[in-house]
Amino acid sequence: MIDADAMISSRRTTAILLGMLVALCALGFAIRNDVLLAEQRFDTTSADAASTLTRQFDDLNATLRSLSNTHYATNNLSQQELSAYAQGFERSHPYIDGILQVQRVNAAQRESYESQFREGGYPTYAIRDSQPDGRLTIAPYRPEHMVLKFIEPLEPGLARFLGLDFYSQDALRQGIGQAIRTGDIAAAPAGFLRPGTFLLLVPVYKGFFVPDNIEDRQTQAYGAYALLVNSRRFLAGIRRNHPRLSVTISAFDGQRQQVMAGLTPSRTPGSLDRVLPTLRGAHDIRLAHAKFVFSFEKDQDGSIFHPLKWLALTAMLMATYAALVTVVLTRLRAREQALEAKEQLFQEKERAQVTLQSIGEAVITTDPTGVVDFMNPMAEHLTGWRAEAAHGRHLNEIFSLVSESDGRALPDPIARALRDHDESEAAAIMLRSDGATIAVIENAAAIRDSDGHFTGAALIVRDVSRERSLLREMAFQASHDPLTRLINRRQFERELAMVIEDALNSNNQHALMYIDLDQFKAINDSSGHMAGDQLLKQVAGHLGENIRRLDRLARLGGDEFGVLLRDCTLDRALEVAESLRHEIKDVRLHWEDKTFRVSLSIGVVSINKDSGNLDEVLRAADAACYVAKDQGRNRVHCYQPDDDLLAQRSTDMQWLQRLRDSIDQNRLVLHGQSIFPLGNSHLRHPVMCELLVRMLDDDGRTVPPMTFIPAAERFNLMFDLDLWVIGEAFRRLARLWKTHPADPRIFTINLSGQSLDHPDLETSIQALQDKQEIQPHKICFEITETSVIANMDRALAMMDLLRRRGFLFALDDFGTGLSSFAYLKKLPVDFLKIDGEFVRDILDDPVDKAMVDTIRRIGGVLGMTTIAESIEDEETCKLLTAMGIDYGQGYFLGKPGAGRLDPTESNVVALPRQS
Amino acid sequence: MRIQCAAGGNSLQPGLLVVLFSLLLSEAGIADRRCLFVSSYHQGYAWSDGVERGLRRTLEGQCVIRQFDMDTKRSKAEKDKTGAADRARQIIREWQPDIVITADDNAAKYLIEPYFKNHALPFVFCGVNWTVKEYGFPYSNVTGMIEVAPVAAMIDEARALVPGARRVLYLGANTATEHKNARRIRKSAEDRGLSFEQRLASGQEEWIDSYADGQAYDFVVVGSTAGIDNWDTNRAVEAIRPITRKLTLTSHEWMMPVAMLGMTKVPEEQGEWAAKVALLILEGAPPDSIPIIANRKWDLFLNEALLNQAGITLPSHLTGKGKVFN
Repeated sequence: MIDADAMISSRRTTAILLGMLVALCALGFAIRNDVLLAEQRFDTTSADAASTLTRQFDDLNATLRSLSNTHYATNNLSQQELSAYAQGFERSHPYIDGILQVQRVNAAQRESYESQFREGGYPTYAIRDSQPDGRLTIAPYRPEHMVLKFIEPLEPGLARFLGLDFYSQDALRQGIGQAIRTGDIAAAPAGFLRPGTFLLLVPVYKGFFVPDNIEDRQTQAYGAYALLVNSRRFLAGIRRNHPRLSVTISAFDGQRQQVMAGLTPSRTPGSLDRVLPTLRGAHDIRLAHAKFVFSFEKDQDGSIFHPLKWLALTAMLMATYAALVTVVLTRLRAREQALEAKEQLFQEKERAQVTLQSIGEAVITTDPTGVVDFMNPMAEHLTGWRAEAAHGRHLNEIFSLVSESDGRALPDPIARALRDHDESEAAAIMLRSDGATIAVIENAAAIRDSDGHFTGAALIVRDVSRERSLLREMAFQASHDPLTRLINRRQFERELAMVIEDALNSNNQHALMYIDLDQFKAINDSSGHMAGDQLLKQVAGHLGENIRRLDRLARLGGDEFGVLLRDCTLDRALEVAESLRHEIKDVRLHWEDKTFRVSLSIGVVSINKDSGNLDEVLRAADAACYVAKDQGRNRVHCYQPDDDLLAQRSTDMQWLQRLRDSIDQNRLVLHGQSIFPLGNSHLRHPVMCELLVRMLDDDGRTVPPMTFIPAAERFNLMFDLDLWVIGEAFRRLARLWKTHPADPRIFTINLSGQSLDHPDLETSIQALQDKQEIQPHKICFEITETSVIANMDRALAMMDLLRRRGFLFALDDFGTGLSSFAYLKKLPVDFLKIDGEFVRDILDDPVDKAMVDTIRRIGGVLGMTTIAESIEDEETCKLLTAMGIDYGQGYFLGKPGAGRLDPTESNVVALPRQS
Repeated sequence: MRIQCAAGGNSLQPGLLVVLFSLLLSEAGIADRRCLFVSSYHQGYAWSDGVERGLRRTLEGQCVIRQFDMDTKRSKAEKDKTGAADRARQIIREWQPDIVITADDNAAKYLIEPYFKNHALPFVFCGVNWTVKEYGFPYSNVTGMIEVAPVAAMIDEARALVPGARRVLYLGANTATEHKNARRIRKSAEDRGLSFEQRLASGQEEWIDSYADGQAYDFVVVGSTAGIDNWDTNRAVEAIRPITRKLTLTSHEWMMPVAMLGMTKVPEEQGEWAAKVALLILEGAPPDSIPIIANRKWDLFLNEALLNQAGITLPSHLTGKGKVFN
C-alpha cells in the first residue's frame, strides 16, 4: 500500500511537473505569439504608414509636376499667378505650408534683380545667405544664386526668406544641382526654412520643355518650384492612425541620406521597454531618380501582451492537459486497482490458506449433504484422517460427537447448521473412528452463495481437552492442599457442613477428628521447611491409609489435619483416632542424616443433631485437640460438653482478653532479675539485669508470666507485648540514666519468635529509641536460638541494623536447637545464654556438663560471653564458676522483682561471696 | 447645456469646467491685447473699407480692435491732418494699445513718422503707396505692406492692346496719393518709351474735362478720384460714356465704372497682411524681423459697356479672364 501510495504520489508529482511545463510552454507560446502579433501589427502598421506617405509623396510629386508644367505652359509664373495657383491649397493640401518659386540669378543680373524688387515694394529686399545661427545676411556675390523669389501663400513669418539664396547651403546647392542635372525632385534638409518643415523642389527650365541632356538642363535652368511641407501635418494622418509609431523621412541622393521629417510620439516609458526590443522597419520610394526612405520604429511595452489571453490559453491547455492526465491516471489507477484487487484476493486466499494451515482449530468443510471436501492439518490431526482420505466421505465416517455430560450422541452438526441457518457452538466429546475421545467445542456454520443458497457447511472443531484438564486441575487446587494433595480446609468445611446438615435431618451420626502434629514446629525449625513438608506428606499418607474410603481426610493448615468420619459413632471414631495415633507414633522420618519421631494430638467430636453448626463443631474439635496437646501431646481427647480441660481452654481465651486489656490499659509492669558475673568476671563485666514482664490482676497482684504468655503466643500477641516491654524499658532506663548516668549495668530484653518475624520490629524499636535518651550499648536483646534459626536471614538483617544503632544481642536458651553450633559463626551476638535444661542437672549429668563446657569453649573462641541460666544452688554456681562461665542467673543468685531495676548497690555491684 | 449645483446631488462636468475656464482665459487674453486701427481716410471709402474688411476678418477674436479714422481724404487741410494725428496719438496715450495698425499714407506721414519713430509701440502699416522712403521706414518698430499697383502689367497690356501707342495720360484726383501714383506710372510709362502726362483734378467737372482731353491720347490710366469732393460716379459715367473712344485702364476697382479694363489692387490683401503681421508681433516677433513687402494680388475687370461704347474689342485671353463689371 505504501508503494502504491508512493507511486501515486510520484505520478501526481510527475503530472504536476509536466503540467507546469505545459503551462510554461503555453505561456511562452502565448508570449511569443503576442510578440509575433506585435511584429505583424508593426509590419502592417509600417506598410500602412508607408502607403500613406507614398500616397502623400505622390501627391507632392504631382503638385510639383503640375507647377513645373504650369511654368512651362505660361510665361513663367508671375507672383500674381503663383498666388492664384496657391489659393485654396490649405484645404486641398493641408500639409503644404507654401509654394516657393526659386530663380537662378547670376552675378550680372543680381543688382537689377534686387533693384526690381526694392522698387516694387520690397524696400529692404536683397539676396541673402542663411547663417547657422538663423540670421540672414547679405549674400556675397557668387557666380550664381538660387534665390527664393516668391512664397505663396506668403505668411509674415516666411517673408524674411524672400531673397534667400538656396545656394548658400552646400547640401541644398548639391541637391538642387543634382535635381537640375537630372530634372528630378530634390529635397532640402528638415527645418531649412522653418522648423518642422521640409522642402521638396523640382527644377524648371527655360522654354516649354525640359531639356533632354544634362548640359542643356544646366544651361537652361530657370530655377525651381518648391513645396514647403509641414512635417507635423504631413505626418498627422500617421500620428492619428498609428499614434505610437515613430517615423523618419529621409532623402537619399545616392551618397547621403538626410533627414527631412520625423515623428516621435511622446509617451512614458514602460517597465518592459528595456526588455522588449524596439521594432524597426523601413520602406523607400523612388520619385524618378530621387529616393526617399521611410523609417519606422515602435517601442514595445506591456500593452502588446494580453495576460487574459495567456490565461485563457494556458487555462484551456491546462484544462485539456488535466482532463488527459485525469483520464490516463484514472485508467492507470483502475488497472492498478484491478491488479491490487487480484493481488489482494490472492493474498487473502494465501492468508486464508496459511491461516487454515496454521490455526489451532480443525476446519472441515462439507457439501450440503455432509460430504467432506476440505480438511486443514489440524482437522487431520484431530480426526486422525488424512485430508485426501477423508475427501468425499461423509462426516459421520470420520468422527461422531457425543454429549460431554451424559455421553449421548449429538445431532449431526452439518444438519444442525443447515437447519438453524446460523452458527451454533457446542461442547462435545469427539469419538474418532479409531476409538479415541477428545473433548472438543464444535462450531458449525452454513455456507451460502451470493444468492443465499446453501452450498455447504463449515465445521470448526477446537480441541479443549487441555482446557478441560486445566480446569480440573484448578478445581483440584482450589479444593486440595498442594503438598499432601488432601482436600483443604475450604473443601473440608464444605463437606463437613453437608454432613452436619445430614445429621440434623437424618439422625445419622458422624464424627470429626482434629489432629495436630506434635513437635512439628521444632522439626520444621531445626531441619527446615523441606523436612517439615516431607513429614507432613508422610503423615498424610499414613493417615489416608488408615481410614475408610468414605471417610474424608483433609489438611486444615500447618501441622493440623481433619478427618470426617461419615456414619460413624463416637466410640468408633475414638477407636479410629487411637489407631491413627498408634500408627503415626511408629512412623520415623528420615531427613538427611537425622531421624525424627512424631506423635499426634487428636481431638474428636461427635456430629449429631445436637452438635450445633459448623463453627461450633470445629471449635469443639479444636478445643479437644488443644486439650490433648495440653495434656502432654500424643493422645486423643474426646470432646464432652462438660469437660474441665475444655474449660481451661476457655480460660486461655479469657487470659487473652485480659492481656489485651492490660496492654491497652497499661496494667503490665517490668520486673528485673540480676545476672551476676561469676568468679573474677566482675572485673571485666558489669552486672546485668534481665527485664521481665508481669501482669497485674484486678486486685493489683502480680500474675505469673506462664499464665498469659502461652495465650499471647497462641493468639499472636507477643509482638505487641514485646513492644510494650521495650517501650517501658526505654522509658524507665532513660529516667534511670538521667539520674544515674554511670550505672554500669546491662539490661536485657527478650524478643519473642513472633516479634522476630514481625516486619515492623526494627522500625518500631528505632522509633522508641528516638523518643528516649537511652544508652543502647547498655541494652541487650535476647533472642532464642530456635527463632533465629527459623528465619536466619531476617534475624541477621535485624540484628545488623540494631547493632549499628549500638544495641547488644544475646542468644537465649542456647543448646536446645541441636545444631545451633553451625550458626554461631554467622550470628553477631555478644552473649550466649546456656539453656537451663543443661544447667539444672549439671552436677549429676556429665553430658550436660560437657555441653555447658563445650558451649563455653565455643563462646570463648567466638568472643562471646556465656551466661548460665537456672542456677538454683551454690554447688551449681561454683561449678559453673569453676568451669569459667562468665555470668550466672537463677533463683540462687537473685529472684526477679520489681526493685531490681533500681540503682541500689545490691543490684549494681557483683556478689561479694563469689569472690 | 445645463450646469447643476454640486450640492444638489449632481456635479458640474469637470471637462465642461475646463472648457469654460479656458474660454475665460482666452477671452481675458483677447481682452488684454488691444489693437488700434488708424485709417487715414474714412469709412465709406471703398479702398479703406476693403482694407478694414481684410483687417477685421483676420483680427476678429484675436484682439480688441478700436478704430480711428483720420478722414484726411475729405479733410485735406494740413491742420486737419495734424489734428487727426494728434487725436490718434491721444487715443494711443489713453487706450494704451499693444499695437497700432495704420492704413494708407497719411497715418504714416502724420502719426508714425513724427511721433513713433523707433518707439516701443509697434506699428504695422499698409496701403502706403509705392514706397516708404519718404517716411524713413523701416523703423525698428514699424513694418508693413506697401501698396503697389500692377502698373507695369497695366502699361504692358495697354501697349499690347493699342499697338503703336506713344502717349499716355494719367487722370486722378489732386491728392498726395495720386501725385505719388502718377510718379510711379510715369516712370513705368517712360521706361517703355511712352510719353506721359497727368491731370490731377480737384473737382468732378475738372476731372470730366480732363477725361475728355484724354481722348486725344493713346490710352488713359484712370487713377483714384478719392479726395474730389462730392464725387458722383453716376454723373461721371453719364458724362464720359458719349465721349469715350480710347482705351482706359485703372488699378482701382472702385474706378471701374469709368474705365474699360481694370487691373485692380485688392484692398483686403493689405488689411489681412497687416493683421497677420500684427498678430505675429503680438506673439513676440520683433517688427524689424518682418520685412516690408508689397501687395502681390490684383484682379482683372472688364467694363463691357464702355468697351462697346468705344468699339474696342479685347483679345480672348482678357475677355476669357476678366471679370465683367456691371
